[in-house]
Amino acid sequence: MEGTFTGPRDKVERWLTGIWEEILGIHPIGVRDNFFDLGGHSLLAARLFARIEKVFAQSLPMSTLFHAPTIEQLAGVLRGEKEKDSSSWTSLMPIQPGGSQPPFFCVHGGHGRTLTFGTLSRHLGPDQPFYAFQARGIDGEQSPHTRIEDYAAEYVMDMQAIQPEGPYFLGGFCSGGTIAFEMAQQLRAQGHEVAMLALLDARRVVRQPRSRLGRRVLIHVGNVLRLSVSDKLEYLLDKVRGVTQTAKHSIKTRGEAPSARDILDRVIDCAEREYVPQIYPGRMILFRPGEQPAEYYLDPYLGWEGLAAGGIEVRDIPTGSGTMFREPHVQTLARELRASMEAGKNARLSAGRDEVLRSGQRA
Amino acid sequence: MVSALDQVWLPPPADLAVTGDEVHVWRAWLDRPACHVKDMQRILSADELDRAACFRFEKDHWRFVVARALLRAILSRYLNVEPDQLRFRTGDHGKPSLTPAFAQAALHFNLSHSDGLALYAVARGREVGIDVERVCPIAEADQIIERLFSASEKAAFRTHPDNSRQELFFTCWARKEAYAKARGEGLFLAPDQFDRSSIPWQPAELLRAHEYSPERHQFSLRNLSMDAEYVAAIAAEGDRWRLACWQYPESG
Repeated sequence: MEGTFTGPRDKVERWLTGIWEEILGIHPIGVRDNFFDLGGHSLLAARLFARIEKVFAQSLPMSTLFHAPTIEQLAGVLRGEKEKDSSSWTSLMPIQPGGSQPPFFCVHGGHGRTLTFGTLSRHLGPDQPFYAFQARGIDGEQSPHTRIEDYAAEYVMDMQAIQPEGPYFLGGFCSGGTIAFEMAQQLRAQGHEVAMLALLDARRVVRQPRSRLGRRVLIHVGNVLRLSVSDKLEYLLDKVRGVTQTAKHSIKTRGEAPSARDILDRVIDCAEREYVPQIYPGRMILFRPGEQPAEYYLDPYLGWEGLAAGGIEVRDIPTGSGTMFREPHVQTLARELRASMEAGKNARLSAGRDEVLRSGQRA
Repeated sequence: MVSALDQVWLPPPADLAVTGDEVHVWRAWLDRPACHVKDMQRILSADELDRAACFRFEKDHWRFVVARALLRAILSRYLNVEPDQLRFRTGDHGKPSLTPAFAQAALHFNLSHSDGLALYAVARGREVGIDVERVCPIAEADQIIERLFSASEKAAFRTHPDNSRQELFFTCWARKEAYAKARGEGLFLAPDQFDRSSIPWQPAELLRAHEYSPERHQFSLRNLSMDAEYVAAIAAEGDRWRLACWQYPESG
């Protein structure tokens, strides 16, 4: 847990660390600790920003903490580093950018949140860089992608800004597993090596017989996001009512526009149902919770059987569905994941001669 | 300071119901024996447990677990649903509400906790927001008043006797927070837009948020009478509601 502790590295971070420690009554605080995870709330935030205003003569809104919840990020804001506008939007979220190992890239679950990965990253240790992807649309500003292929293409592009060449170590949680699967397909199609494709508690969502209707819902949801807030509800009720019972049930709310996260959840779910996976030429690893929902209980491959030509390796984590990122199960997950990454690296070494040959041909 | 004759914390009746003209407030202590807390964990959703796991300190972790478990237990009394069957959604600004599957009961709720004490507000057909604060010295109080309080609040502070300024500060803050939470926003967004307040020691007050149509979105605020170290306030839509205050059983 303490492995990733990073102390302050310059004057601004040092000053902020002192204030955080005083206001939160905690010592020590690392520059990557999250204000809210330390027990921070709005009055403490008000105190913090009162102090900042006094010293920096900058009157920042308290909502700054939502975009910059760590000392490192807040220091960036105070130094005048501009917050990202949509043209410089990147899906990539560094959870733990340091370390000498090849980075692990992990795709969010249905709500597009990356919150769940912090504990796993800590257990993977300070030498293991960890990047997550956050879904476009989670802020309610941009329209989310409506196809798994588009999520994958964006994430591959953003990932290659950090690591331009394979071998890649990929993972995905829940619906993120389907996106990671498609990323691996696209990377292989580009001629890159994928050393590990890990699906974490990711069930293959089976295409529904009503999928054409599902598609229609998806188009409408996409349209809604382009409307102003006040028009959203009316549009939804107009178009979604009567299309399918399930969509109606999950999108219509009691006279309120649905939240960005709920919409994103719904959009990714629909995209997943629409996605038609091709057979992946490589191998994949399924990290499977010991307890599965009844309908998947009999299927050891969680619906993925036959979709990886290189075989599917199953690793059981003794936990219920949705809980493998929590203590203490996350420790088992981290151990198993590390073993799989090692295996991926070794497999690469043994295939080294082929690699040399291929890169020789490319050159 | 607060005249609150209607606020007596009673044990809840067995046949509990909240009518359209009531707002119920529950008070509960969050520091409970470990064996109870472990049981409570079982009724939480994966999302709730994920959030709980993010807290760095065990104390924060367990208080969050108990706060959410009691929320489920309280709502299940009104809805006749098992606590672990309840499903929540989160608004854009983080306010939790029940999913549309439970919309028929039109049950609204809000919760707040501070230093081990939790308050829950439950109402039918009206939005509610609640806030409790543990009173303690605030070195930055003057700056916060200057920065985030409205003109009338500032004026109140100028004329207020020094020996109760701390309590006044927290009362003001709790009222702002309760109002912002009732509106589904939370103070992180716009504490300084709360300029319709407030003569803070008036126990009840009607507020009008100018950007909403006045018929539907009037909120009224009340201070809640608490033990000496805490202050609390509740905001609810409309002005024709009365309070009923319940004490959550210690071993529940």
